[in-house]
Amino acid sequence: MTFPLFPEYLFSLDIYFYLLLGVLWFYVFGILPLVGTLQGLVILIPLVYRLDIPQAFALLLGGVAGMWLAESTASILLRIPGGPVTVPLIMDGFELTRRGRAGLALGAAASSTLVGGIISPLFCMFLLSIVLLVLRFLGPAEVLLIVLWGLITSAVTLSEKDRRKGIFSAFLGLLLSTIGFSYASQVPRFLFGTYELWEGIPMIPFFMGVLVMPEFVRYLVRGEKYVVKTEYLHLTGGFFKDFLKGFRETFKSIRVLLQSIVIGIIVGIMPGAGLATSSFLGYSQASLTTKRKERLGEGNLDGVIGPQAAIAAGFPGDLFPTVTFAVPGSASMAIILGLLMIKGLTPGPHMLARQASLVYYMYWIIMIGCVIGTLLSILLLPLIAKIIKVQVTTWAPILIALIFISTYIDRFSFFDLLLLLIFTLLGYAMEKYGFSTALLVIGYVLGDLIETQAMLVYQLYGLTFLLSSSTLILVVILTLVTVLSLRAMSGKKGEGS
Amino acid sequence: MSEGKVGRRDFLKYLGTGIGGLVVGGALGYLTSSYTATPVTVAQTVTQVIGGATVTATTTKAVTETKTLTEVRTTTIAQTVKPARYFEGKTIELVVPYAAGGGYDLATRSLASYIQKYVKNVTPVVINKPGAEALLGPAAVWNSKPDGLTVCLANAYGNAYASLTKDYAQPFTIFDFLPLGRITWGTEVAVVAKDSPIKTVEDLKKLDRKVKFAGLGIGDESGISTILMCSLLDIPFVFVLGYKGSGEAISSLVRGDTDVYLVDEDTAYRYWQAGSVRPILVVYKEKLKLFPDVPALGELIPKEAHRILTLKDNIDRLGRLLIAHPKTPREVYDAWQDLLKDIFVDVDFIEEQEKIRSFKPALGDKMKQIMEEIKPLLPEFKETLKKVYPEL
Repeated sequence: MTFPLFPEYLFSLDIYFYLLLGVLWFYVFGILPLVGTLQGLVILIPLVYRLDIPQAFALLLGGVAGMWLAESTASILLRIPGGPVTVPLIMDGFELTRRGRAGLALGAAASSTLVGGIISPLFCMFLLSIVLLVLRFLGPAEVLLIVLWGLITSAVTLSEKDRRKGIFSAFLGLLLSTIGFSYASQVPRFLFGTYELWEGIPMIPFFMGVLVMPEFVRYLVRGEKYVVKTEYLHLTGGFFKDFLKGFRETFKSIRVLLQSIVIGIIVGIMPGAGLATSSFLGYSQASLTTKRKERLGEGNLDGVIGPQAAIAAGFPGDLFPTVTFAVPGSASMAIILGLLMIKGLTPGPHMLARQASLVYYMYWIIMIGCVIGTLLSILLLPLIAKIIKVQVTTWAPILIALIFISTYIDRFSFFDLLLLLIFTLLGYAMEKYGFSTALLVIGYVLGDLIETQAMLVYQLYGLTFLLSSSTLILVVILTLVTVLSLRAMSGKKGEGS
Repeated sequence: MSEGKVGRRDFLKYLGTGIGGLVVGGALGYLTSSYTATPVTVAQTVTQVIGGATVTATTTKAVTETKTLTEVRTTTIAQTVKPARYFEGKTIELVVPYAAGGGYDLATRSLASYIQKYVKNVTPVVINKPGAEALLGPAAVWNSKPDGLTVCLANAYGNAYASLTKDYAQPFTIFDFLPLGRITWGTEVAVVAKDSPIKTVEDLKKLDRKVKFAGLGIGDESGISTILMCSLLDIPFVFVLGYKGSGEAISSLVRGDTDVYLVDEDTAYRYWQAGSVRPILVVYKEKLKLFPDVPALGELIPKEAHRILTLKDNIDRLGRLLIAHPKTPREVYDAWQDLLKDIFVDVDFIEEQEKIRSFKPALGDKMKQIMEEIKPLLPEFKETLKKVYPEL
């Protein structure tokens, strides 16, 4: 099987029209808080019916690939994620904004997006030639190990202040993820008499309640008028200078950057793992690898670089199982897959063999879309960043109203509004008493994946899975990474003391 | 008041901008939950058998291209297009029991745009209510006013299977609703990885271990078809459960983790065409057109075992069913029937539906008849399954 390096579709002008259209379209959905890829894709469905396949790819794949910096902007500036994917960005990204250094965080996010978005498609194109080997290496046992590693390293590194409270928070997240019907064991759990919880706790009220709404409560309690803390307001003047500095800073964290890209690609390729998992694991490994003096969660730039690079690298990875075996890794990719099937295209081994240039074209368009979209976001950032100079009292009520509306329309359920209030109280109480909402969210997001994969592994191999060669190799790699990172961390602390 | 602190006037701003936010948010919510497609009209006379009755519809605007239906049949009843006046100026909520972007969602959005084509001043709104194994959608219809303006494209056969095996503590089953019309139905096909050493059903019996069947859950259509197939063919098997979709289950076949997966015929066909899997058995009484060389379960079992297979086939025929509140007035039901008769023979609608799944329509009366036939037989079906698979 031979793959053309530069598919002919790339030399057609109309492609770039649709690419630009897609980039602009998804930019809007990226930059607006509370809406993201899914909403953008759903509205495009009627248009896709009328397009050729290469045009549809340019519109959808190019557009989505270009939106990641825009998607992270609201997380960094206002602590409002567009979806679970950008949740890790609020931890350090928003903290930097609070300290008047939004430019620094956005600059680092921009360069991480560009590097991740360029390297990852190239690497994925190489992996296409060894597709079966890649898929065979990444089964449920490997997914389980990597995700468990991510959870444990997060729990250890993010709970430095108070280990017991940190581990309790992660454990609570794991427990919350067990609510709902377990398909593996065929048992309904903790439904509290309502079938609204059958599929588990819905994402939107959970994230909004635990992470976003408590911030608004805190503005009121603290009586602050701006997102930026009063004592740092004077720092907000040099946004562009800060942005350039942040852009360069990424390359000083080259290890965090590259490791995040690798994690993004691997997790993206894993069937069913999804981009949110890439993002959280990117954050986890950054917490393990960082050499900066700030703690993670307290304005460490690596807490932005890690997840952002993993997201940008994860999206092309996510496409990999979609085109090779029609197995979408995320909800967005499932929609893209559905739309492609409507266009009469069936991804799979035959497509790889017979329409290789189309597959190559998909990766090129993702790369070009990422570069154009990120540049567009950078151009508009100084304008967007002015929001932090607007009083909270002006925009917060609009956002609170939008949070309630977006929570309701997700499933048209009043029950979800009740959940939003419950999780707002939980999130506020946890932060007030020194528990980590970040670890709560990480436990919740990774918990479901851990349980599903663990049940599959147990049914398939029992405990003998630990003896399989690929698992052993992975265990050795993860152990080495962890030991070397912990040694580096303890060395740094020694120097510090 | 110092710089950076909140005062009382600011709270008035909160209130004012909050109301603004509700307006903006409402508009955004509406935009993301529905869309208005430009009606596409063609002049064509189409005849189609819908649930036993053959219907002809003639549209009046000019055509620019000629399209042929795969199955155009003879006319017994002639009917001209009439706007369904009941719906004019009203909002129809079309509930989808799954998230946006899937097959049910696409089929419903397509239906919404054709409702607009045939009814003036109507506003169809697509509402996604995923959850509880596609039961939240029907629940929304159950809790709505019985005015026929809230309907749901239900996974009727999936809901019927689920009601046999799980207690959802619901006040209804799918048989309690008023069926308006079916869009499609299908049966399951057993597939193996393309490179699997298992080539036929006989190979499954020759394995010196239990056959591993990938699955999402025991009580869904795939799980029940697996139990039925293995019990009728006497194949020792074990479930590997927890895959979150047919894609994941099929990737487990390709990796060699599992041996067989039973998936609906359209999905099986797509993966077969993509080169990922090979079909080995159709869980149906006879061969399917999509898989002319693949043996059917009905051909491999003795005549006396056909009853249980027929029961399953009948449940499968519920398919993707548009349902309304059971107390919907008769005239509203008739208005729906008029509307669906027009839409189900529209060549563009058929073409769009065929891209999603094979279009196998039936109108309300036919579906009522199917439901009435199946309902009393369910206990027997459940009992038979329990005998061969007590864990169910």
